[in-house]
Amino acid sequence: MSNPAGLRQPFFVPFFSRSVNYVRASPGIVAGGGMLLLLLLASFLAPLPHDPMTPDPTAVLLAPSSEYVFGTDANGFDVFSRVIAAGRSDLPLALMGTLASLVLGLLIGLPLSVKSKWSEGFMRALDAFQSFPLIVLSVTIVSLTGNDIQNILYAIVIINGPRFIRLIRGEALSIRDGRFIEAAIATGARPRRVVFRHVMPNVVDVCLVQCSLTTANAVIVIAALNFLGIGVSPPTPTWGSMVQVGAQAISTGQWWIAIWPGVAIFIAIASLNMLANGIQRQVEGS
Amino acid sequence: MSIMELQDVRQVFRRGGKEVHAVNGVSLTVGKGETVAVIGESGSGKSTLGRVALGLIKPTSGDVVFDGIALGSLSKKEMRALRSRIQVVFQEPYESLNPRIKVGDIVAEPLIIHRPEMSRAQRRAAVIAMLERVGLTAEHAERLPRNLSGGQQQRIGIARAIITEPELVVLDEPTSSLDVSVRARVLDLLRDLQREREISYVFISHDLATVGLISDRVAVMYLGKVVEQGPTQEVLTNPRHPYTKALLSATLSTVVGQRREHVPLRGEIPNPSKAPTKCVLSGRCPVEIAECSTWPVNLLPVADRHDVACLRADADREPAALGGPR
Repeated sequence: MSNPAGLRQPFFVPFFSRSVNYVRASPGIVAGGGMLLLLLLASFLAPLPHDPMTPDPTAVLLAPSSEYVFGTDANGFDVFSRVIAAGRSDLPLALMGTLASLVLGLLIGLPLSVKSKWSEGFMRALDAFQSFPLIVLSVTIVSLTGNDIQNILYAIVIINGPRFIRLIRGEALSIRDGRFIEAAIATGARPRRVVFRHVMPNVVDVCLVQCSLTTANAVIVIAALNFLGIGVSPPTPTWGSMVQVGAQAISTGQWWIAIWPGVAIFIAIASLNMLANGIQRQVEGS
Repeated sequence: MSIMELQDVRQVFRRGGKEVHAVNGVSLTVGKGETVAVIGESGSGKSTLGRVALGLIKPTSGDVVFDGIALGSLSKKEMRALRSRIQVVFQEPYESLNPRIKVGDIVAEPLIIHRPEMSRAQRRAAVIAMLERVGLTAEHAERLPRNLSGGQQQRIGIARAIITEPELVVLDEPTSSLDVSVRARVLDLLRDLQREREISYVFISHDLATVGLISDRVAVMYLGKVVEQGPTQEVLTNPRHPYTKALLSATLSTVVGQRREHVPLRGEIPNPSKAPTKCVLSGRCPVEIAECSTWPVNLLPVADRHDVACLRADADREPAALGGPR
């Protein structure tokens, strides 16, 4: 395979040249994807030094030490164990929310790419819907329907579904202007075949980028809702609720309780954004 | 025996409240196994005419009759079924191939749609036979369009068009984006395929040299109207309409030392924003007389099967009127 970024081939091609070139060509994908993978592996495989769900009343508000790497909080929970364990619920939830948003976007966005009064009307309705502050809307919905974890999923879809619909429709509209779509119609392809065989494979690129960005957004939404105490019941560790608990202790000097879950959120979002950026570059390059 | 007849086709587009009269009453007959070239500059309505002939757009008025079937009377389903018999090759070889689909699957698609009874293995054999027929190999089937050259991409476009053995293929400037050497070979391929399978071609082009090589008859379009039509050799060597003459004089002669009389037209091709009420060339014509601006001029026979839409088609033997040879 040729060098994706068109970089000059080194005079002597080393054994790992392909992977080295790949890292050089798309550092975003490698760095972002690597960090994300590390975070996921840690969440699911790392051995926890303490039980994240049972507090130790004798170890309250301890500063980071070799026993409690990230310190303990006001209830005697080990912050390190809880930061790691929170990833088990936060990250899969964010990914599921993104997947649901993507499916919604494809199911509605692709059919809407047929120019008609109806589809224009739907898009204007979507404009109106998106002009609401959606985070407020989802807070309202979640708090009205109860403190259930699946309500967080709905919140993510409410915020990100419309973005996917808009993106996929826009992309599909421009693809439909392509000559190969006219060729497919002239060949005798039915509208359904045109959409699934010819339009859909060509929106994959933008969807990949958007998925990555949406997952980052979902991590924030989850953290924000949890920070507000929505969608989580107390002993369960989540990054958002941990920041909330820790925020109360910052003024009395215990900075470590809020900082570490904050750092985890930061790493998740930074790596997802790097990944999105890297995919974007790859897509533009090809 | 004719395979396709365009009957007084008119196509009016509405763009932002403005009307565009792309095709203004064109009648054209394509015989079985015949190549009819439609030539004209961009904006003459030749590509629109091709799309109408393909049934991709419904004409504003007039009808297209293919093998005795009026396309306007067909349901969407019937029209789709008929598409296996009327095919198209577009100008832009790369843009007309889905960049995400392997070449073999692109060529197989018409079979999947129109020959659902074929097994996977039969289809694959047919695709490979077709690839080899158009000068490619089985190995190309696994590639993506972007990994082929322009000439190869156009061969794929041709393979896709003829795999269902259509009786008519609309060639919308199939060679104009290709290198000259590649162009000649693609034209040879098209001619050989026509001889083998008795396909009729509607060959849309602005390139007179290419048209001279491949077509039996030509129709010269200007501003949505056919201004001259007749046997190719007759029209190219003995043009009677001032527009055809101007078009011919604007191309370079391949004969060393030959000088063509230069026929100047004034100004630019106007916007076809209204239906013509006078001769379409009125205002640009070097041999215009007062009568030209009073009614739209229709095609009239000047010789055997040679029709010209010009009041002065017979008055053209006076070189002085054309500015004379240089």
